[in-house]
Amino acid sequence: MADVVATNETIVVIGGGISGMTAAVEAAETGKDVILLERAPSLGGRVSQLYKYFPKLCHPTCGMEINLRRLRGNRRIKVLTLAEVQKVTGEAGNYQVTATLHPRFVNENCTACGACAEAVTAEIDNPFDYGLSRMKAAYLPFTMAHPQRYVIDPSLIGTEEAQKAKDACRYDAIDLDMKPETVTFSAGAIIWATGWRPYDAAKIQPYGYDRYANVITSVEFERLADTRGPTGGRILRPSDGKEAKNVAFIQCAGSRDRNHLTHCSRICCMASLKQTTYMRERFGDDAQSSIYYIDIRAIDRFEDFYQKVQADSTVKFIKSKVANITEDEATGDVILHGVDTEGYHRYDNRHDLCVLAVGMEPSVDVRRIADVAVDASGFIEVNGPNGAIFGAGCAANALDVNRSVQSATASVLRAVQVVNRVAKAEG
Amino acid sequence: MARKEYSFYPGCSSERLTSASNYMVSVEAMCKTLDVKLNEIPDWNCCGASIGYAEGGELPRHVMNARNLAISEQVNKGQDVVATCAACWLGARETKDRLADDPGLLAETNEALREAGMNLEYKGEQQVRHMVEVLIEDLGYDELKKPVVKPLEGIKFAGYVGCQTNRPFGIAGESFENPKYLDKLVEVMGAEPVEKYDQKVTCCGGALAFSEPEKSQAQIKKIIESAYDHGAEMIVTPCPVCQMNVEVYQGQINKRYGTKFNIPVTYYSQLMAVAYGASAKEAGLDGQVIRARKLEEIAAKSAGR
Repeated sequence: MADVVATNETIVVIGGGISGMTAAVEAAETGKDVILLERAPSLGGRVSQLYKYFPKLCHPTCGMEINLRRLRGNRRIKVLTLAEVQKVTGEAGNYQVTATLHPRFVNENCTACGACAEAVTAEIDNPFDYGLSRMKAAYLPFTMAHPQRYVIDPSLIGTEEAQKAKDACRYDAIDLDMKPETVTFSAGAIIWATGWRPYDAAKIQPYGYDRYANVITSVEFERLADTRGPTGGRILRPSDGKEAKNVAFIQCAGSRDRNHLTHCSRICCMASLKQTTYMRERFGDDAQSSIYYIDIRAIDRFEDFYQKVQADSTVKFIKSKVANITEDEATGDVILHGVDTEGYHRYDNRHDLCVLAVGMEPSVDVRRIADVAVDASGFIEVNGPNGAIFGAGCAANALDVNRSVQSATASVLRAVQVVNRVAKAEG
Repeated sequence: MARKEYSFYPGCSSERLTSASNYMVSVEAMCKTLDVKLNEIPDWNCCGASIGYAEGGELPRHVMNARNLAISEQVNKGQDVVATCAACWLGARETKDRLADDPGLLAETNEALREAGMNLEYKGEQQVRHMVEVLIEDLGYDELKKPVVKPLEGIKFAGYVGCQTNRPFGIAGESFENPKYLDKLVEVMGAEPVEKYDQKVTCCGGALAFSEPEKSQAQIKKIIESAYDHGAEMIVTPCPVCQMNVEVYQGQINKRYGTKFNIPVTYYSQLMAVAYGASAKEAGLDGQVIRARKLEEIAAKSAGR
């Protein structure tokens, strides 16, 4: 990677989701040199996997497109994908960031024509659809992927399939001999934007995510609703492909629970409220959405959104922490058991599909990589003794998109001050 | 010397002439084959069971269990305490955990033991384990398979785990809602487990079988119905209370619901004893209320057919 020049005035951004992209663009637009490292083969992160954002219900492609345009047009940003940070050492104004660059087996010649994918027959789980679909093992991560370059899955290497892909390429873009590389960059400040991952729903054992096909997570439901998702935007349940018109949403699935995540993940209430609008969009008055909740946390300006959903006759609110879920084996329906605390009624409610509004946890254990303070949930302490390592977005807290972006901007302001000090000292 | 030795007490349900005495008989046969020696804790007492939780009070409950454990520390030094009864294990294990966490409660417990004039002091030196933990963790499935001379081929078992060996402690590494160890044991013995037995951790009602028979029998009905629905010929369980409740109330349930239940309910140790070549009597099959005929047939055959 001889073309990457990094100095003590460089800002390294770790993580290329909405927070990291925002941070990279804003830091570069103040005139700083930025290296943006992303572990996946494309920028975009979890926001790109959403069908719509709340509260305006616009599509994430819009916001991503603006960010990508700013990013592509800025020569101060160097983007490295498939770059996994291993270690960060040093101190404010003088960091060393060590990363492994995993091989893509596809070089810059790629035009994203897709001939390699056509040639290959092997399929792998599609992580973009959270494994709800399969895809060819030579793939473009998603339509808006940046860079627009295919990836050869490592499982193909050494097989005939890999050679088929190479033979199909007319641009000499496939290099099956690529090896992992370890690189080290200097940095004056680091913005840590590694984001979140959905809490492992299988751990919430009474809900049977590991046992029942028709218990899914909120992030999977986003993929079902997305017109470019595995069902072409039709809300079909996994067991039999039947339209899921009667859907239960369980709030705080794995959040605010001493057996799981103790924190409130903040986004899940709004995510489920938003997802009831997908139900109405698909099924009109035939939709039946039931939200099982402890309390609805539609904070500040989201109250409007909550009230609109409350006014929708197809949406029911049941104040209850669901005790457990069973499956009717004959139909595949899920039956939710619990007590409605408003009146103390026991219920055994049948639904086509159950969506667990799973909480957020940090996607990486930051402390294994760098010396930073984290809170009890593993999020980076914003005001911790962290030198010039600044948490941004969901690496720092459970945040929605809007607040993640604000957090990213705040981290840039801090990082810029550090590299300005370095520049002044070095004259 | 035996391969493994443990400090042991059978608990009241497994004493002679009690409901689960056949459990004990089969455990003895199983342990003999596995070369495991159980050293009974002298003068052991009741663990308190459900009464300890319902009315007994916290301190008396812990004193009862601590007494057994304290005697064990004196007499069976350096051995883990093993219980075959799920309730005994649960109670004793809870006492161990609570007293380890609470020095005040520990001091009170020891004071009560002193008052009893037995010169006992509970120190917390020994682990408290259930028999299935010992089998799985100390011996392992491979070792359990080795002595099988009569695989239980052709019998389908619903592995009914129940609650006490499952919550809150459970067997290490197992899910609370879908524990698999009993199914694995069934498989190791050459029989077929029910893959998706959805009632495997449903409560059998426990002591409520006496005081709230309708509620308890409604639970038991679900447990049995699901076993039948999944093609099971027998139910197997690690718990004496589960065994009793699920077996002996089938007649009453049949009257109440018009069902025709008649499914044998066995212990894992009976399966193992038979698979290891024991006779029906040695496997405690004569203690069944609903006879486990298929197991009896296998037990009657000569080994290595």
